[in-house]
Order: sequence, then C-alpha cells, then structure tokens
Amino acid sequence: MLFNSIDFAVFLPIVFLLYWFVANKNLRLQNFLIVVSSYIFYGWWDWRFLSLIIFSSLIDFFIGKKLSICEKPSSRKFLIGASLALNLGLLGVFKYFNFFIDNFSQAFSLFGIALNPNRLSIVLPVGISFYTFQTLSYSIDVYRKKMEPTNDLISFLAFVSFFPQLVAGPIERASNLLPQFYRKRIFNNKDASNGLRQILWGLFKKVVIADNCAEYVNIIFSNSSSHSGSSLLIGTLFFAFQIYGDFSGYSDIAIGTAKLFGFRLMKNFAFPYFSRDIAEFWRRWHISLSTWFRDYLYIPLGGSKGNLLSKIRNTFIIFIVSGFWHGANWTFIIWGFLNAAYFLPLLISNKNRVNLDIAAKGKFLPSIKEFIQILFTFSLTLIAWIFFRAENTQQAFAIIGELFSYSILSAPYFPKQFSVLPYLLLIFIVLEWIGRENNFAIEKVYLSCKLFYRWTFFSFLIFLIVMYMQTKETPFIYFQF
Amino acid sequence: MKVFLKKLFGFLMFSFVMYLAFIFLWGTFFDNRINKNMNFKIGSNGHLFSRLNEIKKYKNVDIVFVGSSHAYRSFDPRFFKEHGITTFNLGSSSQTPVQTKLLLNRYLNYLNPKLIVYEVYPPTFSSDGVESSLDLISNSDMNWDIIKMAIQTNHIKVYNTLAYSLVAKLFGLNNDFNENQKKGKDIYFSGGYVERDDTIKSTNYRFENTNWELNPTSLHIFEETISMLKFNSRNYILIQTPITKSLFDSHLNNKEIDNYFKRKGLYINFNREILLNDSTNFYDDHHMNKTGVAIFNKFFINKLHQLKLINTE
Repeated sequence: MLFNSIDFAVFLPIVFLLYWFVANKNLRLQNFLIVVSSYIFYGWWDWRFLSLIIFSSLIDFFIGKKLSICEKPSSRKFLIGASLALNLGLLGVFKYFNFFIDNFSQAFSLFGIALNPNRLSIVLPVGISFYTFQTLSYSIDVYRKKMEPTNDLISFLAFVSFFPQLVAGPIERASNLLPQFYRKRIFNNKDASNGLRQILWGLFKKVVIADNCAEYVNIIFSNSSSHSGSSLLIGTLFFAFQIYGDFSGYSDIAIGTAKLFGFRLMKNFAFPYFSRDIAEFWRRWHISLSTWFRDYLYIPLGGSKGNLLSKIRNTFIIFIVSGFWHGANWTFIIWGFLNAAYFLPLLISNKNRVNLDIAAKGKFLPSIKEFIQILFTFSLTLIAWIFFRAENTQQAFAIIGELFSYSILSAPYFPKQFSVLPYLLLIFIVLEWIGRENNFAIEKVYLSCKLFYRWTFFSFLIFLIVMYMQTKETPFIYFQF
Repeated sequence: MKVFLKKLFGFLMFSFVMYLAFIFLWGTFFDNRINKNMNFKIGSNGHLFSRLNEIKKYKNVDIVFVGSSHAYRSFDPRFFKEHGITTFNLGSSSQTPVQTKLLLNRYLNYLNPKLIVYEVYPPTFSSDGVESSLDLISNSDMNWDIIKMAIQTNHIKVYNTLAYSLVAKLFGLNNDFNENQKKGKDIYFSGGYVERDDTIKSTNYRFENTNWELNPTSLHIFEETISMLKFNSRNYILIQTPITKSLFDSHLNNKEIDNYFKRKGLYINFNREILLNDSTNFYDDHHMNKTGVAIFNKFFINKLHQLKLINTE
C-alpha cells in the first residue's frame, strides 16, 4: 500500500479509530492490531512476501531469547552468526544473487571461459533491506548485551513490521522503538496535530516536488545521449530534488503517522541540502542508515581510532557498502566511492566535525561564505547523484562529460508543461530554509499566527498537492532498495 | 481525542471552502498549462459551446447524431437539408458512452428525432472519458447529470474542473462568452457540424497491426443506452464513419467489432461500404475533410432512403 494512495487514505483512519477507540483499553490488543494492520499494509503489494518478514522476525526473536540464556562465547557467536547468515542470506538471494552471477560470469569471460549461469527470475520484496537491518540491529544489540531480549512476541513482531516505517524506514533501533511497544500509549492532541502537519509536508514533498521533478528527469535520463549539457544539468538538479522529496517525504509521512499512534521514530533527514560540507551532509541525509552503518560496521572496524590509513579504509568501506545496500549495480558502488572520496579531505585535515549546527542558525540569511559552502557541497552531491540515477556507469560518465562540454551553454530542453515546476521548487526551498531549525520545515511555520492564517496555509498546501499530483499512483524510489 | 477529532473536522470543512477559493483563483488567473489537474476550456475544440447553445433553435428534428468528433465532423446539415432532412449534431470530442448517455438523457425528448445515428468509433470505448467530460463540464449547463458523469469518470482533473466550473458559474464569470465560429482551420455550421477544408499532410501513413480494445465498463453503459432507446421505441442506427483505409486495415479484429455492434441493432460500418481516398478525402488518419464529407454524405443519405430509415415525403 502506498502512502500516496486512496487505499492508504481509507486504511489509516480505520486503523486509527480501531486503535484509539476499540483497542485502547488493552496494550496487547493495540500491539496485536498494529501487527495485523502492518501485515495487511505490506500484504497489499504481495501477501506471499509476508512469509519473509515473519520468518525474519521469528528467527531474531528466538535467537534473542537463546542469547539471553547462553553465556558461552562460542555459542553466542554461533547464534549471532546464524542471525547474520539467515538475514543477510535472504537479502543476498533476493537482491544480490543476479549481480554476483553476472559479474562472475563476466570475470570468467575475460579469461576465455564462457559461463552460462542461471539467473534467478525473482521480484525484490519491497522494503527487504530496511526490515532486515532493523531486525539485525536487535540481534546485534542483544548479543552485545546492550539491551535485554524481549519475551513478548507480539511486541517484537510489531517492532519489525510497524507499518509506518516498514518499507522505507527510518530504520529503527530496537533500543528506541521496541520499549515503546511495552508502554501504554496515551493520545496526545499536540503530538497528533504535529503528526498530521508532518504527513502533510511529506505528501507535499513527494507528490508535488518529487513526482513532478521525476517527469522531467525521466525524459532526460531515458534518452540522455540526445540531450545537451544544459538539459542534463537541469535533469540532474531536478533529480536531486526528486530523490530528496521522495525519500524525506516518505520519512515525514512515516514519522507523522507514527505520532498519530503515540510513537516517536527517529529523525531521518535534517535539511541536508543546506549542508556546508560533505560530512555535514551525511549527518543530515538518511540519518537512520548512516548511524546504523556507524554503529554496526564503522565502529566495529575500528572507527576513527587507529592511524589515518585505517580511518580512510573504514570510511571507504562504509560508503561503498552503503552504496551497495542501495542496489546491486556498479553505479551505486561508484556513488558510495565518490562520497567517500569527497569525505577524504575533511578526514585528513580533521575537519569532518566542524559544521555541527544548522547553517545560519538564528539568522535569516547565510553569510556569503556559508552560501558558497552550501552551493559547493550541493554541487558535489549533484555529481554523485548522476551515478545514483544512471542506468549504468557508461551513461553516468557520458552525462558528466556532456556537463563539462560547450553544450552546457546551449538552451535547455524545457517544455512548457514544466513551467510551473521552478516556482514550486522555489516555494519548497524557501519553506525548507525558513523551517530549517525544526524537525520538519512546517513544524512551527505560522504556529504563532491566528488559526485562520495557519489553516489557510495548510489548505494551500493541500490545494497544491491535489492540483499538481500525478493522476496515477507513483511508488517511492526507496521501495526498490 | 474528541477535541482533536472536532478540530480535524473543522479544518476539513475550512479547507474544502479554501480549496474552492484557490481553484477559482488558479482557474481565473493562470494558464491551463500551469493548472496541471484542471482544464476548464470554454469554447474548446469541437465547438460544443456553440452546439449546445443553439439547441433551442432545433426541435422535432429528423435525425440526431451522437458520437465522437467523427459525428460532428462527418455530417454536413446542408446536404441533408437538400433532401428535406433536418438534423442536429450532438457529437463532442472523444465522446464516450458515458457522455452519449448523458446527452441523450438530456436532449432526446426535446429534439424528438425520428432517427438517432449513433457513431461508434472503437477507441471511444477504451478511452478514460476525461477529455470529453472536460469538454462537457466547460461548455454545457450544470446539472446533476454532469456531477454524476464526473463521478463515473473519476479523475482528479474532472473533479477540479467541475469545482471551478461551479464556482465560475456562481460568479457568472462566463456569462458574456461568445464562441468564434471559425477557429484555425475549423468552421462551425449551424446544426452542430464542424468543417475542415484541408488535406492529409503525409500520404503514406503506416500503422502497426493491432486490435481495437473495448472496455467492459464502456460497453455496459453503451448497452444501457441501447436498452433505453429500445424501451422508448426510438429508431436508431449504429455506424462507423470512414477512416483512412491504412488505419482501418491495420486493425485485425474489425470483424469481431462489427459482430458485436450488429448484435446491438442495425449497424453499418461505412469503412466496408464506401472507398475514399486516403490522401485527398481526409485531413488526418481518421477524420474526413470537406470533400470526403461531401462524398460520404451523399452515400449515407442514399443508404438511409434505401433502408427506409427516413421518410421525407
């Protein structure tokens, strides 16, 4: 079920009313309702893949229980190894099998050995990378004795499958989300209103910004060789807003929906395009994944301890793995590599933790220096996004080549149907800038104003959503990861 | 919780009113290309505004034509007049069975024709009906039928255009509108006919072989209309007007389509009856030009006499 669908618009109020009016007296019943509704939400795509979530959940639930009674280090290692093998094994089969098969076959062909391996003809289950990482975090934390394993199966199933964030995050840590299932939730008017505002903003980002940018981006990238550098630049620029609007929009809807049910999910985006260096960008982009890799990969590898060389190695490892997490394609690996390379100067000069606060904090406009830094960082991300969006590495390099050719000076292809898009983007950027010190852009916008103005502003956003939405449901980009 | 729900309800009511206000502002001040999900176009292609506006002048006609642009571009009332036949054309752009049903429900008793010529071009049976709905909403009077049609079409563009149309009518925004009878290469003639005196640009159209698709919902509504005509003892004939031979021949299931319509009443596919020249009698691959219409109309009127479908004595 998509957040931006009629199905969800019907589903959400029903679950909300059942949750607060029918199941509100009994915590277990509320959790059970979350499990059932989450499975309905997920099964809406393909009910057969529910078995994977249930399998993953049960494996980690029972491994967690076993870990709690097992003190022998070798047995504990075996148990966590089993959890890793099973979870990553499933992910590997569904997501990476064909990639490895193809690359092995190509590698052998270089030595004159022709292999004709059988590729798997399977569909990638929606959100498998997200819930696999979420359930793994539980097993690892229990193994590390950072949290007590749960004995409450319903709560655990609800934690793994919680529908607002099931298919595209934020990837929650068990230590944050699981305890919330043990506590009685009390309806909070302020939180619920805040949640609705966040859902509205998320829908605006997805439906108005991302989907409209996508129309242009698809035209340009599907036939990039016939477009000039200037058109490719606009296409890349729009893709930057598409991916941000799409993914952070999803996160906003997820966090907002969770608030309606009395849950607090972690922040996933913090205005990344206002970052002044690439390190800041990565502290503000897909925070739940970055911190996951930091805690479960970067730190175990030695993190920032050790000599400079090991720091550089660790940085490259997490960025490349992060790229590979996004998809089984060399384009994602290069995207990761490129980001690691951007990071390198900051790491070497030990300036990777300079910009910790949001840009121009407490001021209306940034300084010229900040503005240039923001623009430069954004330009770096643009180059990297080309690899993220391109079908293959050849296309990505060809696009970059064209961007640095004279055709960048030619008039871009820009049909009149897109003439409203720059204005929509301007509204979006201004609102994001104004609200950059909050959890989401419109969290406190107009909050000090009279109800009439506030409601008029929200009504205007609703109007823009309806006026500029696609007439067909468009899935979120991150569903494919 | 109750406070929250009350407030939410209040907001939804407020935003509904504001939504209409924004729709009005957008529709009035912005170009249709900017209004992605709204397309209010009074006086649009096909002259539906003029057609529906002059309907009051016509009553108790001999023939009423319904159907797509093939209907309003294929029957020149001047040829019929020569034979003493009065006609009125209720065709509209991409008219699907939903709009045909609406127009017949609205005007059939008033026009009270001796014969209804229902033009059944297969693509209008697979169309989503949006274009035709927008045409009707923008150019006709508002009533419950229009709202019902919007719900049947179920498209955001149709809902927004309907909302704008209602607000615009409330403020009498288009009361003084007058449609130009000549638009580009199209000339409107009283009785609902739109003439184009042009020839085809490319003489060698090539189409890949394909099948006409008829969607079940459209067929269901079409059959309801046929039942209504039968129930009211109305004479009708189903026809396909000529399209270019190359386009017609590229469809592999013409026989099946003919068989379907034959089961629904008297049916003539004129693509099998008359041979027109693809390059001189059409202005595009499926619309006849002035010369094509002249040949076809003579043939058609003879056919009506042969079949004794019209008595002008």
